[in-house]
Formats: sequence, C-alpha cells, structure tokens
Amino acid sequence: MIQIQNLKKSFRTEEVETLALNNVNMNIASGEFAAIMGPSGCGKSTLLNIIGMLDNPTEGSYQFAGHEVGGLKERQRTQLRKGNLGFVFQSFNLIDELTVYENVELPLIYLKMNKAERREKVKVVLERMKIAHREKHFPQQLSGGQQQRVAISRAVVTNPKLILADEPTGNLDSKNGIEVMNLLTELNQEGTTIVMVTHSDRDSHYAHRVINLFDGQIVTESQNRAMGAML
Amino acid sequence: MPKVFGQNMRIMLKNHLKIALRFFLRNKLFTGINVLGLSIGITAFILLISYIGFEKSYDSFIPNVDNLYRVTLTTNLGGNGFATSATNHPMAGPAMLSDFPEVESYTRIADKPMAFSGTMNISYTNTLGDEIKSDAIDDYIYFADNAIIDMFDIQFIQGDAATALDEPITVILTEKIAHRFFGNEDPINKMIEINDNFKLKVTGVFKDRPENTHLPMGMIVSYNIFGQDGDHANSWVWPEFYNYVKLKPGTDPKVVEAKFPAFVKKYLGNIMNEHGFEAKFALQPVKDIHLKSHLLKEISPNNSEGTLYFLLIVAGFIIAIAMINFINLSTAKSMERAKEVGLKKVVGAPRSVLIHQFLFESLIINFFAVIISFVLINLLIPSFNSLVGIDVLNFGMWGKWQVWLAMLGIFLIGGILAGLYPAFVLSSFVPIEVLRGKFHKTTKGNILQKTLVVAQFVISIALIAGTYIVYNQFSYMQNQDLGFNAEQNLVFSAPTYADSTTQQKIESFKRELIQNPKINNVALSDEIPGKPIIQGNTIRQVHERRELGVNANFVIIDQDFIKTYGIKRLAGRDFVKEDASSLYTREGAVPSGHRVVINRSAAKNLGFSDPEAAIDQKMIFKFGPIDRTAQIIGVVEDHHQQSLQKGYDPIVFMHFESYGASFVTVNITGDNIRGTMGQIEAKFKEFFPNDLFNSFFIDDYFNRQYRAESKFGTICLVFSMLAIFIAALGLFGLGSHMAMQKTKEISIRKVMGATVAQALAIIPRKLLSLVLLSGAIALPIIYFVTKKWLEKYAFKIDLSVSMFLIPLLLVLVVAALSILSQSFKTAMVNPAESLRNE
Ligand SMILES: Nc1ncnc2c1ncn2[C@@H]1O[C@H](COP(=O)(O)OP(=O)(O)OP(=O)(O)O)[C@@H](O)[C@H]1O
Ligand SMILES: [Mg+2]
Repeated sequence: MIQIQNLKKSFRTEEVETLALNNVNMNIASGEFAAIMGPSGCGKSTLLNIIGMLDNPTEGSYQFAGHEVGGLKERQRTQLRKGNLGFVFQSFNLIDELTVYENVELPLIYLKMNKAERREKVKVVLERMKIAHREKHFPQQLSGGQQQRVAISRAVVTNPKLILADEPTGNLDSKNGIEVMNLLTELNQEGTTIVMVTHSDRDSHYAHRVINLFDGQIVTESQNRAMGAML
Repeated sequence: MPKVFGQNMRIMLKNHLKIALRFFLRNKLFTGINVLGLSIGITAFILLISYIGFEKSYDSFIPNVDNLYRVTLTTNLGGNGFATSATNHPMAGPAMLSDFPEVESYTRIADKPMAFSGTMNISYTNTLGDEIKSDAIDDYIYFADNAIIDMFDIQFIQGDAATALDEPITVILTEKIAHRFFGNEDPINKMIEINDNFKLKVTGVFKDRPENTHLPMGMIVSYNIFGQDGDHANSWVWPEFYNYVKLKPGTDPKVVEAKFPAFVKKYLGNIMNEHGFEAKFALQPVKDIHLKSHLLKEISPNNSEGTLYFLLIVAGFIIAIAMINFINLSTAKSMERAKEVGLKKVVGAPRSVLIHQFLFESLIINFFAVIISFVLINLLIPSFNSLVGIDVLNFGMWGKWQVWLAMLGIFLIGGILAGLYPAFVLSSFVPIEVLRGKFHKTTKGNILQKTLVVAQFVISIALIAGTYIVYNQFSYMQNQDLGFNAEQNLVFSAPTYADSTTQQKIESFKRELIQNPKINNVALSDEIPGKPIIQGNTIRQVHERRELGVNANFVIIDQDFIKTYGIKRLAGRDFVKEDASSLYTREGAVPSGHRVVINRSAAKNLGFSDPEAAIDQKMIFKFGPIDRTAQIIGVVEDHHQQSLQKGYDPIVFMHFESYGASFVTVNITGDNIRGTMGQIEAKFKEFFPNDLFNSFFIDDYFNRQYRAESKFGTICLVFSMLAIFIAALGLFGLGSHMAMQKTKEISIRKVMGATVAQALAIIPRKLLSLVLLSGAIALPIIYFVTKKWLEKYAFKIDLSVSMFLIPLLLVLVVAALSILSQSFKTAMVNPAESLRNE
C-alpha cells in the first residue's frame, strides 16, 4: 500500500536548515500494523505527516496505493486523503465548539454524504466506541480517554484504508491507553492498515512490525509476529 | 519622579514600563491599531466638540444677553393658519418702553430693502478724488436706533456711543470698513453717499464684531433716515422691522408676555377687526436665536440644535468606537498573555499589582494617542475651518484651559475606562486553569466581545445609512427640475433709479444687449429665484368675501421675464409691453385695470378648477392696504422659488410702468461666456457709469441656499467615514486575533478533508449573524430618525429598501474583508504546521 524510496525532508527556518528525514526507504503492506519508534526529534511525526499527505517530501518518491503523491498540490492531496485516511493525534485535536456527534460527523460532511447516511454511520461508530451516550457533550466535558475514543471514531467513520496515529496514548493513563490499543488492534484485524508513532514499548508490542528511526534514518526493523499472534 | 512614590512603587512602575514597552514592540499591529484608532477618535471628537461649542456660544459675548429679547409677531393674516415672523411693527418697541416698566430700552433694526427699494450703492470719494464703493450685502448694513450700541455691546473706538445714531442721517461702521473707505484719514464727520443722493455723516467707528453672532454688523445707519419717508417706519401697518428689547435685570419675561394680549388689542385692535385677522406677540431670547429660531424673515441663516445634537452623537460614536476597539483588542490579546499572568501569580504577584500593570499600559497607549491627536488637531485647523465654513478653531485654542481639561479628561477617562475591563479579565485568570489550557473557555469575555462588536456594527450601519440617506436627499434637491431655466442666466443688480430718464435708458440698454448674437433675452424684475419673495398679501376672486383671501407672493417683472426664465405657460398668454399698468394715476387715484399672470398654485388657491378656468377672470389683490382688481391673462407652471425644503410659492406676476427693478437677467448662449460677460459689463458701464456691476449666475445663486445643507452633509460624511474607518481598523485587529484563535479549527477541518474555501467558510457564517443582528437593531432606528428628518422637506426622496440594504452590505463586506484577509493566511498554511504547535 505504501512505498517510500529515498525520501528526504528538510525544513528551512530563518537561520538553519534541518534535515528531518534522510533517505528513508520503507514499504507497508495492506493490512499491516506498523509502529514507528525513536528518540524525540528523530523525524517520526514528520514521516507520519508525509505518509498522511499533510506534507510533501522534499525529495524522493512516495507511492500510495500505486499513485505517486510526492509532488501533488494541496488540493489534490486533500482529494486523495478524503475517505481514505484517518488521523489520531496525541492531543486529540477535537474542535471545542462542536459536540462529540458533530466532531465525528465532520469528515462525512466533506465527503458530501447526505444527512440520513451520516447519522447512520456516526451512530454505528459511536456505539462501537462505547461513547454514544456522550454524543451531545462537548470535548471539554470528557476525560482524556473518552476524547481519544471520539478522535478514533472520527478517524474510522469513513471506513478508511489507512489510519495514522501519532502517539495516540501519549496523553492517557495505562488503563485508557490499553483500551485505545485494543481498539486499534480490532480495526487492524478487520483489515485497516495502521501506522502508529509511539514512545511506548508496551504499545509497540501490538504492532506487527517496529521501525526504528534515528536522526532521520531507519536504523532497524523488527518483526513482532509472536506478539501479534498471541493476542 | 516625585517623592510621594515609595521605593517599591518606583521599582514596580519601572517594571510595568519595561514590560509594557516590550509588549508594544512585540505586538506592533495591536499597538499600532490602538494608537491610530484612538488618536483619530480623539482628534475627531475634539474638533466636533469645538465646533459644537462655537455654535452654542452665539451672542454670549454680549454682557447682558440674558436680558435681551426679540419681539416676534404671529398672525393668521391671509387665512392660511398662524405663522410667526422675526419682524414686527416698528412701533412695537417704543410702545413697549412707554407701557411696560420692565423694559429698559429698545432698538428697531431694519434691513436694506426697508429703506431702499432696488439697488443700493454706497460710495465715498476721498480727497484724491478716488471713488471707493462698497457692497451693501457683504458689508452687513442695517438701520437702527441708537440703543443698539448699548444693547449689543458695540465697542466704540471713535465717536460718542451715547448719541452717534441720534443725529439725523448718520452712520457708524467697523474698523475694517472704515479703513477701506478712509485709509489713514480720520473717519469722523466724513460723508458717505448712497445712490448719489443720500449723504450719511460718519459719527463713530467700532471694533469688528465677533463671528459668533446672529446679527453680524458692518455699517449701521441712524433710524431717523426713515423720517423723510413719511411715517410708515413709525406705524402699526408695516410689520417688517426687527424689534429688540432689553428687560431690567431680574425680570421674568413671562411677566411681560402676560401683558401682550391687552397690549396687542390696544394698538392693533382696530386693524385686526377691520381686516379680520389675529396677532400675537412673544419674546424670544437673543441667545437662543442662532440655534432655536426658524421664523419667517430671519435676519441671517440660523443653525439648528438638531444638527448639533446629531454631530454630538457622531462625536460620541467616534470616541466610543475607538475605545471599543481598544477594549476588544486588549481582551483578545489577553488570551496570549494568560501565561504571563499565570506565572506572575504563581511567583506571588497580588491581583492589584496586575490590575495596575494593565491599567498602566492602557494609559500609556492613550497617552501616545493624545500626543498624536494634539499634532493632528494643529495640522487640521485650516482644513476643519474651511470644512465648517467659519473660523471655529485657531491656535489660540490651546490658550484655553477648557481644551486642556478636555484632553486630560479624554486621556484619563479613556485610559481608565478602556483599560479597566481588560485589566480585570487578565488579572482574574486562575493559574491552574491557565496551565490546563481551559481559560479561553470562559464565555463571559466572549459575550462581551460580541456585544461590543455588535455595538460597533450598529453604529457603523446607522452612520452609513444615515449619511447615505442625507446624501440622497441633498443630491435629489440639487438635481430636481426647478421649473425654470437655471443655466446660462447671468444676473446683475439693476441700475439705481436716478431720474425720470432711467426708464428710457434701461430700455435702450436692453435693446442694445439683444443685438448681441450671443444674448437671447434680457429681463427686468424685482425678485429672482433663489431668494425669498418679500412682497405678498392676500388675493381672492372678485365675488369672494374679504376674509376668504388667500396668501400670495407678488413678483414684479417685465414682458421678457417669463421667456428668459423659460417658465412653462399653461394657459392664456405671456405679458406684452402694453400690459404694463401704473400703480397710481396722475390724479393719485387707484387704478383698477391691472393685468396679471399667476402660477398654478395661486390659481388653485384662488379656487380655479384648472388653469384654463382662470383665464380672463378678475381677481382682487391687496397692494399695501388697498384693494385693487386685476385681470388674469395667463397661468404658468409652478417653479421652485426657494430651496426644495420649501414648497411651491403661490405667485402673482405683475407688470408695472414705473421703474422698480432690482435685477437684470441676461440669457446667454454659445461658447466664450467670459467674453460675452465682458461685453455686457462694458455696455452696462457705458450706460450707467455710476453703478456697481456685480454679476452672478442664477444656478450658483440658487444653490447657495444649500450651503448649510451641503456643509452639514460634508461634515457628516467626513466624520462618518472616520468612524467607519476606525471601526474597520478594529475589525481588522480583531480579525487577526479571531483567525489566530481559529487556526486549530481550520487546520483540523483541513485534515478532515475540507478545502481552503470550506475551512474559511466558518468565519463569515459567524460574522454574518453578528452583522444581521446589528442591522436588525440599527435599521429600524435609522428608518424612524431619517423619516422624521425628511419631514422638514417639502420635496423629498422616498425611502427605499436599497438605502438600508446597501449600508448593511457595505459593513458586511468591510468586516469580511478585514477578517478574511487575516484568516486566509491561516487557511493556506499546511495543517501539519499549525497542529504541530498544539
Ligand atoms: N515545521 C517545521 N519547521 C522546522 N523544523 C521542523 C518542523 N517540523 C519538524 N521540524 C524539525 O524536524 C525534526 C524532526 O521533527 P519531528 O516533529 O518529526 O520529531 P519527532 O520525532 O516527532 O519528535 P517527538 O518525539 O518529540 O514528537 C526536529 O528537529 C524538528 O525540530
Ligand atoms: Mg512527534
């Protein structure tokens, strides 16, 4: 599903140029659950953003489902992203002014789905994420774990092929963290590809494969079959 | 720094100042918008307030102005209801002095036409033989009793103030005019001539009068000049004289007014019975005349209190908008400063210190604004004076403590008022909430901010709609068909009546002018459009009873007038030369064979069903106290004799043999108008070497009536635009803040698949609801206010929906542009970038 070759990303600020990613090569197959790990500042988020088409690489090639997306315009990236990709962030990134229901509904609106259909889909997802009883609440009225469940609902409501999660448990306690990881695993078992950035050893064990990043380069990759099979 | 500040205080202030200056430097847009908005607001406020103060100060320089009154006359003469005139019978003053012990003195004042019909030329021939002429209108010449000197505080430089106007046929004049006539010669006892046959002896020179008076005086001729002209000027039959009385100190004017009914009965009873009308007298305080008096025959154009209140409201609005900006922007900025406040609190700063700090910053910004507006006001003095048309301001204003007090007041009140709310909001942050990131969830600040923004929108919409409607009405009035040919009609004063040959001379003058191929027509008349008609009385059909007479104005013209002015004929015919009748037969009897042309309104008031019906009918008109009969030979269309604020005048055009013209109108065609004007002047000089030639075009003259209106319109326009500009400035600042607040939301929406346009759409939707709410508040108010305002115009525009929608749209567009220009930047940024900072 994802093929990345010789990918480079540099940021130019006023004084310095930072090379955040340096010659990254990786493939992620459809249905895979991959974890990206590494020390702070090594480029994990940058890589995830590029995979999520929120940002363009400076150099190299990135093919998503056979399409080269490296040099696409903002508008085209938005088009490709819609419905195909779901995002989960460490800080949830819910819109404070919208209710739980409306937050989850948002991606469907941009897919121009009609109201009845949207209602149906949102209901199903909220039930499944066990947050339906809170649909009229605003994000600020929820706990961190609940908020992250809303964010995951929003990520999966479009039935995306790929979910990108950047430290999804970073702001949660272990109980809530485990709950989120179980949800992701479930989704993966249903066929959704998942790429997750994490600092946590525990979380990385849920993935099939761990990609270790250091200073913008992939240093090691390890398979985790046993663990995956165990669950 | 004074000793009273403790060491602590000093350190604290220093700390405040340091933080404030760094904060300003870091937030240049915020600081710039605040200082700019406030300084424009303060400047506009001070300018408007000075103008209002000036208008309110009229006649207050006269020491006993509280005891000075004008005696007004209200009558129903003519049967069209009661009307009040600023003038009264010339015997009113003297009779009041003899009958009422409360009256200390009186003076009668007569305007130029009372003494001289037709043109009045004033001249002086000096020792070198040069003849110096004066313009009777520009020189404000009046005829008055000697008591005017004491009553109006005329300050003598030369001559005896106690008697100067008691001697027969004397004149006193201002320094400026004296200098023009006499240069360095001694003016006293010099002789000035009027129309080469009256000689006036100069008996006094007085200081130039202040500008803020309803009665500007240049030359005052002794009232006894009327002595030679029979006793009309000392009678109860000619109510054309201004009567002013000075009451004894402490007198209640009501006491005097209570005696008026009996007084009027005593002196006017017989005439009222005979002519079947009623008259009432009243006392009008002199200090109220300029702003409150709108009577018939005002001595000079007055302003209205309504105008001043309107400007006062505008001034208040402007300063309010500037302060709202400041409050809104500071409160908005407070979100960014929450961390600073939280940390200060954590390290132990008490709330009061924080309040002081923010108040201090507010005062500094206001201080900058006051300094800048001080500079701006000084730069704007000349432009502002020419905008309002009077020298309201001069650099001397800074010598007045009131001005400094106003500036200090604005600085302190503005600084504290505008700083107080942000200071309390900022200092009330609870550190834990700030650290949890929940502080911006407090809806209190949001509601206030919205209320203030709505207030700004309401003011802006109201100002734009108001100005737009006022402007529409003024342009309607100036573009309306006037009913006469206003273009290329050159008017100049007719030559004065010198002797019996004048009539013949003017006939041949006319004949020679008409030879000129560029001259179509030449007409003589005693009135021209754009000037209130002086003569008038009642008219009626011959079979009607005397009491049923209706009012009409009389205009004396020659056989070429209606042609020259292109007034449309509706029925019958125009005058021919042979229609001219004489006012008196050789034997002194009253002739009855007059022929007249009347206009549509007069025909209708006389009771004719249509213009045709009036032709060849007889009507009776009163000329002086005497009834005369006339045959109606023609009916013409109504024309606008005065500004469109007034309705059509009913007019009877008369054509007399005797010479009584005040104006000559020449209709010119073709190009090189200047050249033709030169030829006309040369011809005039050739025929009438002793007369002044001062010409003007009738359209300019007519439009002079709109001077007050267009002045008011321009002032409104300028200051409304300023207010709107300041409001837009604030919206711009607020927009950049709103965009910043919305950065996260816009980014998330983009991640969820929204396009730039879709992500941006969230802002106008919120804005739209605010603007619509404001429109719902502002427009009904403006509708009622403008409707009321339009009522004083006889000819007015119809209020249309677009007049209200356009301002609403305009405000929406300005607001959307100021906010979107900021948000657009955010929406274009890569969402990964902005979410990274969360
Ligand atoms: N928009 C940007 N502008 C400039 N530099 C950036 C930008 N985004 C990332 N960087 C730099 O690129 C490098 C990689 O950043 P990235 O956010 O990918 O790190 P990370 O591995 O996600 O770290 P963390 O575990 O702390 O989240 C860092 O040195 C960072 O400073
Ligand atoms: Mg990261």
